[in-house]
Amino acid sequence: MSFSRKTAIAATLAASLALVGCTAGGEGESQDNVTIRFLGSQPNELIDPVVKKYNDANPGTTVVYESVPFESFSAVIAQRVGGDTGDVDVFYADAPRNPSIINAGYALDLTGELGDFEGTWAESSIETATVDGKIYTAPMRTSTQVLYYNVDLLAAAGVDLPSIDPAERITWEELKAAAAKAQDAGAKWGYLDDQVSRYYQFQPLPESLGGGSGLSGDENLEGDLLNPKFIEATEYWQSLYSEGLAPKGVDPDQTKPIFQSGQAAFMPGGPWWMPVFAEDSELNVGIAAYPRFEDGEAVTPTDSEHLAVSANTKHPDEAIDFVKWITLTEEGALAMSDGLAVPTANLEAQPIQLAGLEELSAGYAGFRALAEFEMQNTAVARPASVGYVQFEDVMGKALEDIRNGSNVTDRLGQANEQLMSAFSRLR
Amino acid sequence: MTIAVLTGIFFALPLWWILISAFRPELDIFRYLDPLSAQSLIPFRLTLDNLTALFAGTFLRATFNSIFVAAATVIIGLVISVLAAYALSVLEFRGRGLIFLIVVVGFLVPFDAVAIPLGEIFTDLSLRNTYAALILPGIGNGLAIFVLRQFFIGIPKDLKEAASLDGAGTWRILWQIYVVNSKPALVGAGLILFVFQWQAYLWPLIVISDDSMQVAPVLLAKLQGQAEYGFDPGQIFAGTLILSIVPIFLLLRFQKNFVQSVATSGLD
Amino acid sequence: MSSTDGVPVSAPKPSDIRRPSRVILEGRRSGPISDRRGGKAKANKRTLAIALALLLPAIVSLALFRLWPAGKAFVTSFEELSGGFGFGNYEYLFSTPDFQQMIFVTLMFNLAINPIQVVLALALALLIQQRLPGTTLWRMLAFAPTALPIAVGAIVWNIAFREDDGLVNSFLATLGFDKLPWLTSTSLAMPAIIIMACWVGVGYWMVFLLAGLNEIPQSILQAAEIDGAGWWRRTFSIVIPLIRRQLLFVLIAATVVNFLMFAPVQIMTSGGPNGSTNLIMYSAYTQAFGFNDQPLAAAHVVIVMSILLVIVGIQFKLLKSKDGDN
Repeated sequence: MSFSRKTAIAATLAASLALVGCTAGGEGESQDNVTIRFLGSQPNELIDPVVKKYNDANPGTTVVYESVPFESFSAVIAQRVGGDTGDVDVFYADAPRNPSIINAGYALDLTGELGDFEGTWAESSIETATVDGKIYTAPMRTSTQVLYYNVDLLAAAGVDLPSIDPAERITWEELKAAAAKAQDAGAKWGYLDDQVSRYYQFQPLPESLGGGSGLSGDENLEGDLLNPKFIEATEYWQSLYSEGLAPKGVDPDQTKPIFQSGQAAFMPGGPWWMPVFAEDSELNVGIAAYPRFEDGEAVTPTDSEHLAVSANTKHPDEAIDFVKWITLTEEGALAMSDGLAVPTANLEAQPIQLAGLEELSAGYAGFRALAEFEMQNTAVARPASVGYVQFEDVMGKALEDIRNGSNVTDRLGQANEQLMSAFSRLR
Repeated sequence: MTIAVLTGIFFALPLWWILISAFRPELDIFRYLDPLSAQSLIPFRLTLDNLTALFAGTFLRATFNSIFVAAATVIIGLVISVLAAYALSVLEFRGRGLIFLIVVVGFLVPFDAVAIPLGEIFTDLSLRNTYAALILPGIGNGLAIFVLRQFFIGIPKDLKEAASLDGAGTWRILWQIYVVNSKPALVGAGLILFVFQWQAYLWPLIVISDDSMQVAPVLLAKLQGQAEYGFDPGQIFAGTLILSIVPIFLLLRFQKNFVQSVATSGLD
Repeated sequence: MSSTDGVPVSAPKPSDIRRPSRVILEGRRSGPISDRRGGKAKANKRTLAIALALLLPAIVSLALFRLWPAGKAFVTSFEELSGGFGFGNYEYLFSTPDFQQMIFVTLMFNLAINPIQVVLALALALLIQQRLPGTTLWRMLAFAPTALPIAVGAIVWNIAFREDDGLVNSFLATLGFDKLPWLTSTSLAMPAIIIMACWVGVGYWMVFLLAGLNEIPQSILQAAEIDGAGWWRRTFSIVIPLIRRQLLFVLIAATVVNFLMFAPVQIMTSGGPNGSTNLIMYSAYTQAFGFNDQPLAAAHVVIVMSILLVIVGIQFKLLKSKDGDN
């Protein structure tokens, strides 16, 4: 290969020209047309149709959706909203992170701008959106949990199917026994956590037993992991793994495929898997009410994304209008919940959505009544704290170590200290 | 020979697994891992779904962006590195040591650590969402300069002396004595520059918000979505496959430059 | 033997170099004699000017895109919570048991992986040198992992190390061994990360060493063989000393890369179990991008870079002391 000098020079020139000349296609902002940049963590194919609907109905505004990977989402928001790059107007605000987003000044104060929303959003959703009496985010989605079970595996073990009636819900103790029986009868795993070792999935256990959320104090900035009930609940959870009922070493990405391939008897999880399970003709799945401790209360996790308006947006009116369409109108809420089985926070659209999910399979009969009951009566939100992100991180690592066999009291004690240390930087 | 085969298997197996996973339906990817069966390594069910889904999106455009950015970085970066390496190895002047130190420290600084402050600089300069934003941080690479400089030192000085005695100017000497005779170092430095861009993830994520300007690895990550909604390993592996083609092709193309033997006379 | 210090690729031998063309050789004959008076000073000034001109793009890009943000980050590391500047972040870090563990883990990791990677790269290069059937294929296979984004490699190995159905354990089981709890055991997690990092990196370093090996004249090796030296003897007494500088270069470059790498930890172990794979750079990343605590993250980076500078400095000294020029 002979290296022609001319080729090199030409290439360099071309590259330099490309550098100077190439920029992203400008977004035309004429007097009349306003562009709203909308940042979320879902793929474009899911959200673009929703955005298109709004754009068609609102000729003066063009909403452009941009997808950002979930792990990097808060970093990108910090960088762009915090760094005032001017290209974020509306963004996803994951509910438990609201305190820190608001504290950092990223979210625009929406008090008085959203109209009358009582009754359209659940009380608990409104609470999460409010700080110091002012509302900063608009609840878009919420969540609940059900207990998925594999009908065939339970039948083979001769185990009674758990009930979908919340009044008759299975207890954690009964669940463990049933899981063991299913395994004896041939199931590879008796139990599986959907979002294993994540605080969201774990929270109901200590809450159910009365051990609290793990945080206490006025501002939820004190670690409270060492009260007896919390430890007891954690030890129960550990036993599912130490006794071989549930698999170690698989992370949240891998749990649902395991259940779907028919290898596990029970899996508490969110309704988001319902469509995919229904389509799978080889999987005989049923839905039951989420478990509680025998001596405890019924508790289910809840909450999901809200929408926030960037504090330094140049188009607050249009941004707020879009937010209101998505969260407060039935049409917008339904559009947003299409293709994604996460319950909408909009109480007008919610029953329609839930009914649609129930119809997907005969095994889902009774789901809508169950979901509505749980969200209204047993839902407990994650603790509101500016230190929530650190808390979630510390808990996640502690849970994972406990799952692998660390002594519960020791490891929780260590986590408690880590929390105090991390929170000392937040005051 | 057995060692060679075993080592080969060590390297090949994960690659093979990615290859077949790209063409398998999602559930099959995880179904046959244990116990070890024929289906673990040989797919019975094949599908092109992963690829078609991938191409339906902006992946091809993103791959083009990756290639363009990497190529531009290599070309510009080589020019800069060669000039600097020449100055640092051949010319003698005061302060040479200090400048060499700057170069060394330059490649010690972890890029991830400066990504955020750098992002702020680019925002202030209104250079976000441009190819310039992607290319510029990659052209100054201390390691590439280092490689070339070490190589230039090895070229006998008397060649340079002879040429300058005959009136050859700096450019002539640089080109005809040093560059022309440094194929392996150029390829080495080019490789370093290329890999830096090909592996870039955090920086494009920070500085590009427009999908049409985004590079392929970031686009693949976006396919993952949140864990709640599942991640699609099939598409990710299919994308990985396509992304690997370029570096492997480059390696095939340039490997002879690395393995010249004594028997070869001259470099062409 | 040409004096090459730390050259990662083989330097040309005088006989290989293309001689300057006739045009130059027969060009204008003017020598230094005619401008001797004041010539030296002029020449120096001129050299300096040329040097600076040549160096300008490199210095500008390094300064602008590496040194300046690094300086900004350095200053940030001293930002205290109360608003002023001080050593608060550093005090906080060094008093935290977690961070103390991180320093230990990072040092242990690098103490293990760098020699391992260099040795393996060398072994591979030697192996390939043997010209066994299929050399091109082996070379390709070893290098191919470098072509993948490291995140994908980490995902694949994450699955491969699964205790119940990972491919690694499946193979062990087929061979009659017990299945190992790779990523969930405090003693096996780090080795697992090292294995994965080797799979990705060894081929890359091997390529640099191959060039060095190919520079060794066959005649020397043949002479040794005739004198009765076996393969091991030839390798250790002749080959390795001759590529000593390439080896040191690879060691330095690998050290830099490994000190700053954290993607496998991020994807496979999240620093666990029990902090046994908690590398400083991983924690820095979490602080910066997870908790948005930039000053603390910056302090992490300053500490890592300080350690790295010391280690690389020592390696440089090794390089320098073994040969005269630099």
